[in-house]
Amino acid sequence: MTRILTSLFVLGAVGSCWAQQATTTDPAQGYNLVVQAINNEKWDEGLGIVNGVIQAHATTGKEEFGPVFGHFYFLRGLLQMGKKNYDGAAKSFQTCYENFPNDKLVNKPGDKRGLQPNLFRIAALVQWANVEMFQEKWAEARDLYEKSLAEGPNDPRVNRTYIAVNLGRCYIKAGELEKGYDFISRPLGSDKASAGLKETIFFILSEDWSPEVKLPQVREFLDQFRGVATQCTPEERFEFNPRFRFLAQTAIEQSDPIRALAWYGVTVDPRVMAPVLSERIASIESREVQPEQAEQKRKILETLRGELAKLDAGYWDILNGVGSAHFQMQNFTASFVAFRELSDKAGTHELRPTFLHNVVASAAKTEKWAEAYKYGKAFLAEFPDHDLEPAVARMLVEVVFLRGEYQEAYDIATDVREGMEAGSSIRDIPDFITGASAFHLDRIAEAELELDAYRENYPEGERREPVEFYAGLTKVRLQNWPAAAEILNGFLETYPNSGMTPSALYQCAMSEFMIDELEAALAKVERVLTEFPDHDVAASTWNLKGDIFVSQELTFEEVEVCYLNGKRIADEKGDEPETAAYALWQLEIHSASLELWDRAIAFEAEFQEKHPESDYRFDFLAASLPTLVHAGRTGEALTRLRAAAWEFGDQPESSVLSEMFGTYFEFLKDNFETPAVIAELEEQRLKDDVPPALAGWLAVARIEMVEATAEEDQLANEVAVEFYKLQAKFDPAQQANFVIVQLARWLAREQRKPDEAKPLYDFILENRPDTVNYDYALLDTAEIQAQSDDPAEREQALAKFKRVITEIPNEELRELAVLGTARLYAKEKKFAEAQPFWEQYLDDRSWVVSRPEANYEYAACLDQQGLTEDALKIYVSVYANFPGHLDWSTRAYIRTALIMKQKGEELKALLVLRDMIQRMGHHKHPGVKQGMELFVKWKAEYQPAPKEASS
Amino acid sequence: MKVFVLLLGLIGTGWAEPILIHLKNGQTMDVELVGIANSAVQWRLSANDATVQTLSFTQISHVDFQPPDEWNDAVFALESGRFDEAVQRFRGIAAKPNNYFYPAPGNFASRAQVQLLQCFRGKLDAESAARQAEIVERAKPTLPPAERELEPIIRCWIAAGQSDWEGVLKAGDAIAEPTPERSFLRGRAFVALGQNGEALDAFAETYTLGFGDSFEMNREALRQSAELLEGLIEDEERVPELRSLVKLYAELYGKGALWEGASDYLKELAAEELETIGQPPAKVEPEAPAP
Repeated sequence: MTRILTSLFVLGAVGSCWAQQATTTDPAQGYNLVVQAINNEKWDEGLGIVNGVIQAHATTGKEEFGPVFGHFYFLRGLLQMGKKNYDGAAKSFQTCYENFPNDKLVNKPGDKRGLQPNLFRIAALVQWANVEMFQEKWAEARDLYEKSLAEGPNDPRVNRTYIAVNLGRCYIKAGELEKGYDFISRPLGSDKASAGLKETIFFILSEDWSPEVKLPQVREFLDQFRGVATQCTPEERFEFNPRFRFLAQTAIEQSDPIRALAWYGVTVDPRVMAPVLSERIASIESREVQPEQAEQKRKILETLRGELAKLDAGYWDILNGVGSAHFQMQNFTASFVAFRELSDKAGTHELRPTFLHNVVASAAKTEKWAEAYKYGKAFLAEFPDHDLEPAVARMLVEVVFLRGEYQEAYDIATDVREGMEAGSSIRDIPDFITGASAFHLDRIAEAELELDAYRENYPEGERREPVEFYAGLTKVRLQNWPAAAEILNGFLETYPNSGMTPSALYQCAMSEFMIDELEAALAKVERVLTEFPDHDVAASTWNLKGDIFVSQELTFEEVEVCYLNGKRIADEKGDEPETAAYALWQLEIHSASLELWDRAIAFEAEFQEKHPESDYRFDFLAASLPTLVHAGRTGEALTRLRAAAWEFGDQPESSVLSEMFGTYFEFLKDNFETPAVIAELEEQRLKDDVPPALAGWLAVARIEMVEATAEEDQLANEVAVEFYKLQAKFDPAQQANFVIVQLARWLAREQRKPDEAKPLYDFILENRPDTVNYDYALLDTAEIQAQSDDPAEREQALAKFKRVITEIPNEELRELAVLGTARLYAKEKKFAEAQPFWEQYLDDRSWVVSRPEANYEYAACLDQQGLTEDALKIYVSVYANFPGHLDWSTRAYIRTALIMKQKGEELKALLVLRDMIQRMGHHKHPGVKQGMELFVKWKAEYQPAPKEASS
Repeated sequence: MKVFVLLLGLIGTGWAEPILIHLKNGQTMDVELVGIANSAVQWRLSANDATVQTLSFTQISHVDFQPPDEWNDAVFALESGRFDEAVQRFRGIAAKPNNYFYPAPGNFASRAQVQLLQCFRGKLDAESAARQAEIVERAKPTLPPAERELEPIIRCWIAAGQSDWEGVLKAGDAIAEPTPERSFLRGRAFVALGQNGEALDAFAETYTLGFGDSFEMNREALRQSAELLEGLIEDEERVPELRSLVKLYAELYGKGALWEGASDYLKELAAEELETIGQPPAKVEPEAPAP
């Protein structure tokens, strides 16, 4: 409505022609009243009068008054416009224009006075066009405006400029963009055009034309004419802001961010109004007013203060749009700036959560990790229940992870992903962070589960690349070398340009080395050393190359070059002392084994000088023992070994203690006579301050020496004495598992005191999961409980056997656990349950602890389940294949004989027993005795059948 | 005799126009100007008043003179961003001090020096701005109080004009409320100091927070940003950002093209389609302006 330029006319001036008439249907009076009504916007009143006049003179008006009577239709049109009756108005203006032309101004020949002309005929045409425009009938309006310009070029009652502007707008709105632009834009470059006209045209082009044309045309328009909107007072610019913001916001909504920024570029920072408003407020405040104006003053001040307070919000709204536009076009550096400003300054804005979210997103995209962390934490603290919380947390976890704060990253990630569906895109990053953080937190088993799940759930995951890498590393940490090699090879193939390639090559090579795929490992090692010679893994890779060469049995010179390179690079870098120490350790091992004593002594000296505190110091000590002995420094070697054992002597669970004590004990045995060994052990054990753990190790070492040296008839007693000494004041909490198990086994197996042994095992089972010898404790306890008469105990035994079978990767223990399970079921006469375990045992040919028993018991299971013929074949195989295992072979003989006898084949039964007696009769074994007794009895009873006797 | 002396010192007469004299005691005098002497303003109450009086500069804070057309034209040129034209016009005013009420405090010749400083800021010509700042400093006594104190940002311009980049950063730090102009100068300083990452951020502050500000400054900030990012990016990840910078430059500031000397790579990027992504969550929805 406001954009249509209408002209109201000073209508009173043309009313004189009716001045002599005086009723409401009187045209003169009516005309004046109608004009008054229009001026006062009393539309209904005016319509009543004008319709009265028209009705009264409907048939004669034109004849009676001439074309001037058309003025009433013009007025009626204006009144109808006021009433928003556009159709009626159009009709009225049309009537004024079409029915009251000025072609006949003489009523009859000789009439000198003539008829009054229709002065508003062109004006009616223009108003008609305006009405069409109101109704957005652009083409119709266009035609009418064009007509008005053509027919009334000099009509003083119409404003040609305004008609031209409206016509230009109609061209644009009717789709004639170029014509409209050309038609309307000329005044913008004219010095003569008023500022108001320029402003009007500028906004028509901005709002009606620019959205319909491509961006370059808009740019040219703004390049030429932006001054219309920018070279004016701050107040004026501020007034324009909402219109430009609308254009910008529409552009953003239409994914046209550059256009949006073009419009934001002509807005003004609303805060420029602050001094203007402040000055106005101060001025009004200082103005003294009459009491009756006080309320008005208060209201004005309130309004101005309200406007002042809103300026910041106006700035924030524009900045939000600017930031969004930059975000949309992926200029995250800029969107970060905008949203950081909003996050910092618009602390109470209702969109604060989204501002914080956006600044975190922008910061993450531009790797501003510290900022992402800062604002992400602020979001979580302020809006823990907000809808965007998962999205922010998702970004934050990665930021926290990249900062190396793995526990926090893990906590946030696991918290965030709750309620998210596994495999959904939003859970992708939290799942990755959970797995990768678990890896860094040394929770390797959990990391493996998480990373494997990620690989399963996210075939196209956002973090697939690092997940593959971490999955490979996890397998390395778990020493699952085949899986590690497979995953890392896949990684190298899938991500050939990854930044993690050097590390992946190294880890993969190490895994392949561990599974003896030496050529493949060597190829990767060579890639690292040629393609990434300066990478952090270079020194370790040289060491690995040395390890591979050792396995390939290359010459010492070739091996030595590798370790020397590893040592040199590590020394040069200065931050890999352990890599250098490892190289020295290997050099020591190989030079000593080849008795290259000079080098070995030099390496030993270098190690002691540079790496006395290295993690490899104990390995190195073990490796350097031959060198020290060769150099005549046996005493020094013993002192160092003793010191190492004592250093960890109060740490019962220390693997270093067990390893170093073992090395110490072996060194003693290798380099000293037995009495001296025993004396050394005893001397150490009797020291006042000997730590209990070390004392335990010394005791079991002494027991081993007793077992090796005692007279056979004294052995049990002397061993018992030593165990009694160990058992005195024995506190398992202060002892290594090995020592505890040794004592428990002695109690259970030698002393037949399973009840005393079991608490010792239980201590390990309850307090030391995942430690060395835990698995032995588990199996030994199961075996003790399997012997119990209490069914509940036996049930627990079965559960422990099952754990050993399923959880412990130790074939020796698994064999015993399968055997124990089968035996227990057999003991309980649960032959159907026992049978699969005997089968499992027999299927693994590497299990040899009790194959005769397994065969016999398997046959017994079949036998007990009625499969006698099948059982018979196995019984025969038992005594045929394992005759020396009398416990089982004699049972097999006897059971075979019994089956024969039960089948009525008495002679065959006797022959089986005779065979047994012939082969085993010289043994004093209960089975043999039983067989002989049966044979005698059955032979006495035997009555051969005639055919059988003759044969 | 006294009148004679005054006449000898008279620099310009015959203006006969209304002026507002702001006295140092806070009072104002709405009078008609008669003439400007070396150290005093000659005035009378009205054209009909035969008594001409003098008021020493020592009593005057400043005078609001009627701006001459030359001044208005120069200011319009400056506000329209036609800096070269504005420089010409202001220099013309400064060159004829006697025509513009010099040396009365508030005269247009002295004020033209201040506006010249604004012109050089607008032109991003730090060396000229630094030199001009010294001139303005000397002109202080003849300026109205509001123009006597240099804005803190001028310290940055002076340092930049002297290639004292650490000084730019130091002067910038002293500005209580950071502005896009400060960010721009910091960006230049960071570039000079080789801190390209910081420079990229500073220039982004310039064109982002100064969305409707200086056309010249935003254009230069975008150009610098694009060149910096071109040197900083190591992988494909930030190519969309670089593309958006050059396209923005071309579409909004370069009449469809990049600057002279832009690399072929940047030109290629500018010719590519802009890659857009969805709006961030703080969704911008059109709000129709009030009718």
